[in-house]
Amino acid sequence: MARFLFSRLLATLPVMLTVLVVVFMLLHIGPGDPAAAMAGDNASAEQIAQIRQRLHLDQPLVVQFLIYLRQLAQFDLGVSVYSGRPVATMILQRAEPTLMLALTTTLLSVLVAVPAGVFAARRLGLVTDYVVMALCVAGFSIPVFVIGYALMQVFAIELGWLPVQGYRPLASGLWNSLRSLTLPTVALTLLFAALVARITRATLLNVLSEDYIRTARAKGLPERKVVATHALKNIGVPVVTVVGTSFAALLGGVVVTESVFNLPGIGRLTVDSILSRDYPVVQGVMLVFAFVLVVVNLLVDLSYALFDPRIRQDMRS
Amino acid sequence: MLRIVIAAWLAGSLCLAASIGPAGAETVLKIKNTGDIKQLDALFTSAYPVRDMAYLIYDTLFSLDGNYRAQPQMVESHTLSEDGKTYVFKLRQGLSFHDGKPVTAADCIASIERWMKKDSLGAEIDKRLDAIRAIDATAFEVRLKEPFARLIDGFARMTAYPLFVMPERLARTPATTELKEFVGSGPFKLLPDEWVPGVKFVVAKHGGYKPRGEAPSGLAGGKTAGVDRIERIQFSDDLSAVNALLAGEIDYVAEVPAEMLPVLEKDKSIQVAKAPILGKNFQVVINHTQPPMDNVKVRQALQYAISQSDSMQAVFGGRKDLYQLCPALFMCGSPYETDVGSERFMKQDFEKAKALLKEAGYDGTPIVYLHPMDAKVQRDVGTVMVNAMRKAGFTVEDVQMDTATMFTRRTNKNPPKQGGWNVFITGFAGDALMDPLTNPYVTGACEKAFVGWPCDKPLQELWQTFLLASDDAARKAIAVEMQARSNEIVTYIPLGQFNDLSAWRKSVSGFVPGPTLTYWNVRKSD
Amino acid sequence: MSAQPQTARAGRSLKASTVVIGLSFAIVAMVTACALLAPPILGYSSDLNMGEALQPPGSPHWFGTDNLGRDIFVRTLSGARTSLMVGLGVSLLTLLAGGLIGLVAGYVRLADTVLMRIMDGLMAIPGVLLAVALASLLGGGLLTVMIAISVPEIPRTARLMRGVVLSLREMLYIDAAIAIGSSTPRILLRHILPNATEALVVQATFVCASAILAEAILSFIGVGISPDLPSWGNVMAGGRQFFRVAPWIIAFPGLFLSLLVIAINVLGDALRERIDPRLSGRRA
Repeated sequence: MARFLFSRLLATLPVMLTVLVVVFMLLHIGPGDPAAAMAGDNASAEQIAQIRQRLHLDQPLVVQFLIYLRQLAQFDLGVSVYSGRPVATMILQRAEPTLMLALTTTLLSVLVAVPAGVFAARRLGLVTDYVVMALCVAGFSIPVFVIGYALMQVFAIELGWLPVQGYRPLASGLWNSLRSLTLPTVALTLLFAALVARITRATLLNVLSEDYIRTARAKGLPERKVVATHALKNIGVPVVTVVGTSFAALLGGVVVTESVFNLPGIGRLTVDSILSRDYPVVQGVMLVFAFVLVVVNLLVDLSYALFDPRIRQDMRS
Repeated sequence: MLRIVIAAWLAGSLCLAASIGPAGAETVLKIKNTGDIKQLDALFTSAYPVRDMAYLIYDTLFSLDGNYRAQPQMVESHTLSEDGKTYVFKLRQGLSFHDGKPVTAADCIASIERWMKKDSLGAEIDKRLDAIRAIDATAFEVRLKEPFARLIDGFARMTAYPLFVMPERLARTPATTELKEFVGSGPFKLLPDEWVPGVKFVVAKHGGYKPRGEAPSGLAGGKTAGVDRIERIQFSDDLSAVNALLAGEIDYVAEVPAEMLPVLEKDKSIQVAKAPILGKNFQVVINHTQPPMDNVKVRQALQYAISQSDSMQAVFGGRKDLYQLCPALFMCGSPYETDVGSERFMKQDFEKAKALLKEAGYDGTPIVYLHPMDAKVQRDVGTVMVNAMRKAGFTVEDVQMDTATMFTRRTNKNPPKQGGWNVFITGFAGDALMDPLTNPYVTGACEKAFVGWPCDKPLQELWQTFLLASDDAARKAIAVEMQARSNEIVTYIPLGQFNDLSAWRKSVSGFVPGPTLTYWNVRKSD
Repeated sequence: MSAQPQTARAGRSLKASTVVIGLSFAIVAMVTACALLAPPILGYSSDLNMGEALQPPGSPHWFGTDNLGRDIFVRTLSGARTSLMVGLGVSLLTLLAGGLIGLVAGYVRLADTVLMRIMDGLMAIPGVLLAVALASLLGGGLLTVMIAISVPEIPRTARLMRGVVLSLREMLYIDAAIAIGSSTPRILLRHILPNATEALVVQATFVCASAILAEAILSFIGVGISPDLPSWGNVMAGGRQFFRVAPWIIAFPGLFLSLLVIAINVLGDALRERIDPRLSGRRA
């Protein structure tokens, strides 16, 4: 087990390095750097040159990259070009809304999507199956900001049930916090749950066509029991997988949702930093996102062991 | 490591929470304004949002009043020697910094010295400076080599860089190094732990502040903290901010888009008004160094191509009450207002534009237009501009980009094909444009000029004459000449003057009209 | 449940699915017609008309106008061209790049590790963020937006292609081809590519659908295509500020966009089901 973990962690290193190189190249090759924007409207050419020098932007790319790597090796993500604040602190200060939104969305999505997927699979080919699947296709076919604005209009503006914008942190009480997350969560769940439900349905259909299910059916077990005792046990792995692998899509959706509902999370931090060319922040956030995704994938792999004894066996050997 | 992470998170979380913490009788003014406060060293950016927040935290020796005249602020009294070379300034009693220390002459001197390194008028003072020294704890002397009537104007100016007074230990930071600690003696003090860029910026009442006795006027007069805290909240877009205002989640929104008016005006608890400031202006900025815009005839054709009315409508729709078509380069309603030389750009005329282009032998070389897409006003006014240029016979290469790229690219002096540019649009506030000394476009200073780099001997000479002129009538006459020359060589083209709309809940009152928006006398009732 | 209802279900499902697929085809055909015919007939309504700003839907502006007085009906119909071009362009770019990378990785063992590590790296960055960064840094414009949306899609396609190649490699007729001395490119072109086509086409439909959505998101964030060339995304983005006073600016292009994306997804599903019923519903 330990060896498995270790080898998996080791395998993430090249991935992280690739992320680093890709993001670094991307930022530094494109036009526009933070110096001019930082200096403001009245800045002279010398002032801008001074800022460029201070930020090492006048150095060759390779040197800049090495400077950055050396920093990273000391677990230092650097400081924001604009505010001079440590990137790590900035990310942590903005983490709560993003984590909470990802968490509530994942929970709600699984609660809605798994039963919906199972239901649709059981009704394969019936109208209800089509309705559920049509809703799913619609769920990920409508831009999340359109859904967001529509929800906002109805539930916050017309009915006044929920706050129109902003995030209430956990420190202000769980109830307040959840209220402020309700609309963003629902908007994002429509997208995320659609993905999860489709895959649940497909997986269950797959499982239902397996030999042991046929055996169970042949034994004369009632269909409900077949699904409950045999099939559902085996969709744990795929569902965890899909939740894990859709996590990237979820993070993408979070970026837009934060913007619509004005949540001060990491998504908005990233977009603001990209638009203002705050290189260290963009690099830091992308690195953290990549790391989170890699860890989520690792957790997904580990959870297989929980659901499936055969894999547990494999890991030991 | 883990402990640090948890502590940081807790701090962040508490910080986000602070606004809903135990409030008690504390009054909190929550405002939305454009731009983000990422740093606060006002000598390192000329961005208005930073300057306006810095005015809450720092006090100034002199300030501009509602009529744009310098008035003493921290200074109690001042004298000028017979020969016009030696100023003596005496500070008011009881001024104190937020760290509790009294404000001394040494603090003022260090602050002046740091400011002179950055500000253009400060540099003119520095050139003439003989000596600056403290007389006692609260008095200091500035001795010049020659009389210079602009000294006090410089101390009072708000663009590009105001002279903010800070403790000597901080003011000794080299002007090339950004400040990390922000301690002033203004009516509010910064709460650094609650300031999260991109989320919010928070100041609290400075208990030890001693306001002047006079009534507030512009940035001058008595500054009284009317609320205990001011929270400047960052929004991802204007719509969220307006929604928050309607829901009572914030108290004040600056720069409300005109299209939101129908929604806001319906609500009885909301007051909408023009921001009580001089106003703003958009400008067409032209690169004088690159063909075909290096040809004055082509630039004049561009004057014929623009329409102030269309540009303003792109921003304000049918609300004609929100803007004015203004021929003055130094702003309408300001001391130097004149319409001299404005004929070409006050009436759109494509035929005349085409005729001028023909005369100039314009061969259809594409005009590279820098067009930011991530700022609504820039995007829409730019669309109007590109449309008009095409109709006037220009070939336009409409280069879309984000604002950061525009900021970088506009400093590029290469030919447009090699990363340079020909035309873009930007906006300056009236307080900068109204004065030939702060108006960035009319220096004619070639390499040293604002981007676009107009290079013109007569303008340079006029600028120097204006700098040294000592009475109002003479200054006005020179300003008129400057505008005439500037329009002749087309340094820039104004696109119309407007006042931003502000909206606030009626529980809030006390905004003071002046050169820029101030918050110190604003009060909030329940 | 016995086999009896299963057959009945199959019958009903055939009918229901035929209707849905037919509808989807109709939507795609209609949008394609708009893309081809609307711009030459209606133009792009790029000219500003301040007097007509923010008109609600009605005559003569059936879908209303935006804040610059541009006709939303015209811009929605003609915008179909841009949005469809983004969808098709991204599918094509992704297929070419991803297909090629997958092919090489699957066939050349040496390149496999390196290429797939790079793909892993790209996949570890949330697609939307990568696209926003690319679009912002490359500057707006139709081509750059297409590239920005393609890059995050490439790894998945490459993986798919590599998988197909790896499984085909094992098959006997490839061995046979090698045995009779066919050159590598020949084997790739004649034997492997045709067999990978089906999977790639299905993948392309999903890429196309998600690209059309992605374009809207890029515009929404402010790094999309210039409004001179209307796309559903940038028309909607232009209406973001006016959502409370002029919801039609977002509603109509949003409706078109959603219908098209749904239709493409449905057709993709149907296509996949024909190729491998067991795969239905699983997005690559």
